[in-house]
Amino acid sequence: MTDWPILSTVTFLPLLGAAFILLIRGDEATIARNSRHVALWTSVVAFGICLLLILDFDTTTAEFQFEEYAPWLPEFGIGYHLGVDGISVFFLLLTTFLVPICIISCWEAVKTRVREYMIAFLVLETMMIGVFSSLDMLMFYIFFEGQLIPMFLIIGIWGGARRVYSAYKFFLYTLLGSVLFLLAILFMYLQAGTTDIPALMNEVWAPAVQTWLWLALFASFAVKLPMWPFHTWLPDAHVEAPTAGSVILAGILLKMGGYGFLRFSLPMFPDASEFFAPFVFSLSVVAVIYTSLVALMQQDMKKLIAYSSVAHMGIVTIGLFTFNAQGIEGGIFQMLSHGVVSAALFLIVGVVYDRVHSREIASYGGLVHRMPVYALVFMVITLASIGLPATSGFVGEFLIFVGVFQVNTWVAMLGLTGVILGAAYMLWLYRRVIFGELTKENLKSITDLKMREIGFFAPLVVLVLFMGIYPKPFLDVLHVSVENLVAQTQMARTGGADVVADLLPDALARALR
Amino acid sequence: MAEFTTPDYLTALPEMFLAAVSLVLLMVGVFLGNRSTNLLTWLCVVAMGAAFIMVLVGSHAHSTTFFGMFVSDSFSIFMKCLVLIGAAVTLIMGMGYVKREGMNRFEFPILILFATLGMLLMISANDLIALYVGLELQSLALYIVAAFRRDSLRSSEAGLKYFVLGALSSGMLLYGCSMVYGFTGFTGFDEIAVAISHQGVDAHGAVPIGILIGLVFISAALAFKVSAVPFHMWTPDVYEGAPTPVTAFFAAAPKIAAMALFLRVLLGPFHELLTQWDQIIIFISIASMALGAFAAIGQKNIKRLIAYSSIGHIGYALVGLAAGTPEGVRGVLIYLAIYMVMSLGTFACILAMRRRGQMLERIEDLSGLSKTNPAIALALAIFMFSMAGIPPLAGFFGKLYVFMAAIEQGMYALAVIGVLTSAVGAYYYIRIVKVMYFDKPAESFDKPIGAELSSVLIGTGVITMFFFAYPTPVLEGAQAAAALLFP
Amino acid sequence: MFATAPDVAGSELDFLGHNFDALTVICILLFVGAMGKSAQFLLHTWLPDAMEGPTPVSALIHAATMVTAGVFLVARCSPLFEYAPIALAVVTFVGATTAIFAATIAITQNDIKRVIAYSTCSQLGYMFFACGVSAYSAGMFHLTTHAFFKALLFLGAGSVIHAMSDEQDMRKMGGIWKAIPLTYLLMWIGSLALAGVPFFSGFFSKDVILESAFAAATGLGHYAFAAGIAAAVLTALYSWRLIILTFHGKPRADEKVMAHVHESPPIMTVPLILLAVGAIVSGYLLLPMVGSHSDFWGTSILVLPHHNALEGAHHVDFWVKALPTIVAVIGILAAYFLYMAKPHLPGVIAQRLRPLYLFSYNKWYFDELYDWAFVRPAKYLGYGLWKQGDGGVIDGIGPDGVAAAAAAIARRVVKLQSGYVYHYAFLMLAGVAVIITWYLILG
Repeated sequence: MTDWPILSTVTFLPLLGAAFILLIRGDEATIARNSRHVALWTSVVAFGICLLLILDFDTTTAEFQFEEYAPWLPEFGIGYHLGVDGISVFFLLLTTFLVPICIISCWEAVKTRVREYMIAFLVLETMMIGVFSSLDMLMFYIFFEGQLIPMFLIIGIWGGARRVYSAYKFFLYTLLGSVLFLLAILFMYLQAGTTDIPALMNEVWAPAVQTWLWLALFASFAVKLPMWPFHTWLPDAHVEAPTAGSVILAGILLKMGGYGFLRFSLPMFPDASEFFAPFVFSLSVVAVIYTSLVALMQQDMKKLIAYSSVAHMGIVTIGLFTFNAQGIEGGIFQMLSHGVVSAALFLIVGVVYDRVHSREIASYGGLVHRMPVYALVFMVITLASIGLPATSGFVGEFLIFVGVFQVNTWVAMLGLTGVILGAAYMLWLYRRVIFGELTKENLKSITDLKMREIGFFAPLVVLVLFMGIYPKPFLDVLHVSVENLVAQTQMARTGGADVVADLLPDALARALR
Repeated sequence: MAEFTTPDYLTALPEMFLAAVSLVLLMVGVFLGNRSTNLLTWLCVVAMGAAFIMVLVGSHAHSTTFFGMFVSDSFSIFMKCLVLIGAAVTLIMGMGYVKREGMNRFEFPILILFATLGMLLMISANDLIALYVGLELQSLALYIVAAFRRDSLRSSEAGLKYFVLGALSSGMLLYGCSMVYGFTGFTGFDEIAVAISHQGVDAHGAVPIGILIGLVFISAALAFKVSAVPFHMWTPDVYEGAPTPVTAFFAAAPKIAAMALFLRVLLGPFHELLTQWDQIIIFISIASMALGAFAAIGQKNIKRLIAYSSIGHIGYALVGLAAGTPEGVRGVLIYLAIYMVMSLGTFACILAMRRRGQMLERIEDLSGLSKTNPAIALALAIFMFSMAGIPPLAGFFGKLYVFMAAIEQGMYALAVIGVLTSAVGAYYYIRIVKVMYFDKPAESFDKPIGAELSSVLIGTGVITMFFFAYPTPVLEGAQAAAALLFP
Repeated sequence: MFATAPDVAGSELDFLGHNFDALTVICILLFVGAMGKSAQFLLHTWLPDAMEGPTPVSALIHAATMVTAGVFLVARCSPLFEYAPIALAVVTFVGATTAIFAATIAITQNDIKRVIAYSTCSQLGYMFFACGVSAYSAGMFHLTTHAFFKALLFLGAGSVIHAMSDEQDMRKMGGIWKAIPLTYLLMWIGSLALAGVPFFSGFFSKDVILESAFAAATGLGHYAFAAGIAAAVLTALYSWRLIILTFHGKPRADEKVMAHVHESPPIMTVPLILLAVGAIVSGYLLLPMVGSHSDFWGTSILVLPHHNALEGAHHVDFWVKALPTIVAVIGILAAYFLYMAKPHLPGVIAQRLRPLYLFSYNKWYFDELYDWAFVRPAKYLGYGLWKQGDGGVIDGIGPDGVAAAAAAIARRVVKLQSGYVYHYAFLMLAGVAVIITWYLILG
């Protein structure tokens, strides 16, 4: 089954689809129709292949599986190396799962330049899959940066009123963080002689060196996640992007920051990670409480959900830096859950936006009277976002807090207040939009979900409930790899955190503790 | 007095060939008149092609001729190939423009050929006099072509400015050469190197100040030629004013040749003074990167924007030189090769900016190009992202190698400044993409844009986009070339 | 987990920077959750507002099942609580306070369902302080009987509301007992059970709780006993106030409504009858729950030997056993006096004791307090952080600030390019001069 290069296929199939779309001829309507179909079928096939991958996945080992290697720049020790382990395989699946949903969701919403839109999405999909399946650091970087191009175009061409500002902000902010990451890669390459990730994981770096490298990587991942205070690009980008763009941005792109921490910062720089953990905790707690409060006061639905994403990712980083299995598994699970839930939330906003063309909460009210199915979907997803047990949101959060309680009870307490605020703004949003009297004229003729819309919500709702009620299949796959990661960080930690502290100026070390 | 022996002409075959051909073609032009311009252009391209082949079969090891004044090695082969490609492509690209904009005179391709010859001589120079001869041949030809559109005020201004400032820089060069000659007694690079290492250091551990001052003046002149800060002031005005094919030529070939010269001079005769000139290079590099990043932000004229961007690119290339290692030089060469391709592609797009017979130069004229001319827009977008250094496009790899070399030498601050300016500079590149893709469409450009432009666009676009797949030829060529400078 | 509790007892847990007894922390935190679920004092504000929902929903979840989950939690975790005496003390205190607190509010409410809601709150307090004195069985017993009569009261109220054409305000009711006699009778049964009149179910469960509190012989136990007795008076008072205002006196509704008053259909009254049966017999039938040395609960409830309040409840003095009944009767008589005999009197008292009246009527101003302490600051903070924080500071220093700085630098730098050749030449020469000076000085 797996003697064919399955990972390369999954990675580059969307690119092939994009090339194919380029060749489509005909008048505008034909091109549009064919582009949509090609894009949809390509992404569905990619999803199918990814499912094969999961079914064939060996959950008993933490080794990388489905590895492919081809020399690329052999004299430099840089190769074309793909592979997945328990940590990355689900992100792959999430990506291939969300892209077809995105394409279905924008079937009618995107009317202009459909061909370019589909091409951009497929290219983006290749880049995203490439990020998660790369086992070579330079390749990872190329895919990581490469997504900026299609995302920039998606926001800027098909976005809202302030799309240009948001597109610039997104591009330049992310680029700035990433170029420092590049320097770190170069340094590591020059020291280790290779950019191969498994090889680099076995390298031991001096704690002082680890600090700078960790900070360089932090610059990139903190902007991507985003962590407070590097988060301000997110509300703008989410609000101005077209619905499908927001879905992909929230669903996948944000996870790359977390994945980066998991794949690079924790295993390769464990001493520095341990040293900076209080720093990360502080930023995360601030993020959770700050952005939840801000979300409370938002008038624009998409902006509210954008800020809630920042809060959720804050909880994720709390989990990742606990260095125990529950916290990290919780963090990964929460990332997966958030990928599905926030994707669904943006689609929910997209549904009413398609009808009313407003994102303002004040434009809505009493929708339950005309759109009961929609209200039901919205309710399930709202509850998942809040983290109600039986939804996927609960499992992740619970594990994270179990994990962090063992490390620092203050962080647990403060993080949980964020959860309370999360319930506050989500339920308030729900009430203002769905419940109440239906008084506005333009809402009196609003229609409930169409078949197509039910088509893309159903898998999301089912997945949310499945993950919440029976998370075992997911946690099983994660478990061995996470245990391995925890063991790596424990073993490699040579008490270096203190050495790091000694090297920094006293005041700075005290401030960071 | 050494016995007179015939120099080994074969080593200098490409140059001799080109010299002969240019004179012949000049005569042809004189007799056939201006209507032969098209024919002459093609003949020049063919001649350059032949020279290209001759260069490739030349010697890869360090071999000198003309009493050591002329050197041929794999470094010179690499650079000459780039220069010849650049010159030939520029000639091809510019044919349409030349015909339409009243530049249809036979002197144009001939002058380009002369300039190319000068560049080849510069690259192979192994002596201060040879350096000067080659440099002047190139410069004089360029002064004239910059002002080629006699009826255009801006073109004449460009040419004149270039001439005046160029003359100043030539003066500085000669002054520097004379200082070096005075303090070492030689003009040949190999001899100077030996003399400096023998001079050793005086009692205070410092180098004779005269050599240092000479080095500074020579560097200043060469920096002028590559348009590095603070000797760059001519670049924006001249690039904007000169006719577009000439600007394309400026941005491609002379920069390469001058950089080659810079590398050879600093790493050849003056390699003992590395710690000294390294400081100059670091300063120039940072200043160029910074200026290139900031000054282009508010520009409205695309040629001026490219001028500033090229200043920035030279700054990045100089980072590789600042490292002072074979990896550094390798980085410079890779960067220059990729830069040249991107530059030619960009200018092909600019040459396509024509509406109702009128050539356009403002960035806002590109508005909504993705709807009216999607192919050109796509190509230009590829070049812009590549210039910004976004992977997986070629420009990223150029930056990768120079920064790798810098980090290897522990020059972390330089690398950090480099990447930060790169991020700042990315803004104006993506602004062009924004104008093309996000803004409302203006009127379409004239179609068709001509086979010569299309072929250049496709060729350079493909190389830029797919460089990552097969970078080995360039990488290995650069590696071999760099090794030669560090015997 | 429960099996290991005795081993963990006495160990310490680092919580929020201080070392606390582990089980105490655990149990207090669990209890806070239970407080929220069962609408205990401080976390009670949601229950009355939840009355806006349909009456059957109120009957089910806000009377019988959902809100009792908190009590269930505490009783289920008795193996843990038994080892955390401080937690038990907290439970007792909160439960007792809730019992009296909610009752004081119920006597002034005008919405029929709200009265019953606060009554629920108060009764839950009883259940909690029963658990607090380690009489978990008593708490569970009261939970069971309470389910019957409270659901009966709610559904009865629903029947009344249905009869009054969806009117819920008791001030607009009155004089309908003849028109809806079945509902009237059933409400009487429910109220008798609630007040703890002998032989109805509430009598058995409420009495054993109060006896246990007394028998606990601790300060808090006595506090709980006192609060429970006081609440019992008020319970009887507001229950009969409700009956009298709703069913007796001159009709205060308009003619149209009065004309429409009718008994509910069997589909509504049959469940009521079933519940009434339960309200009468469940106490008697389920007495084994709290029997002396009864084996009813098996090992599901753990009571440490020295927490013998429930045992002691069987041996208290007669006056302790009789007091709840006596005060219930006092309450009923008081209600009759105030609302039947001298109906103008309550108004006068309310006027004379206006601050007290308002304090009770406005639910001790908790809603306003929480709004002032939590809701408004949160909104204010959220808005400020958004506009000043994100917009002003973060964006100002970050993206927007850097962009503005870059643009400003760009403008300055471009001015260098003056266009004059001699300026350019000057800069070139100046550059050379600077570099040479550098070397001359620094070698």
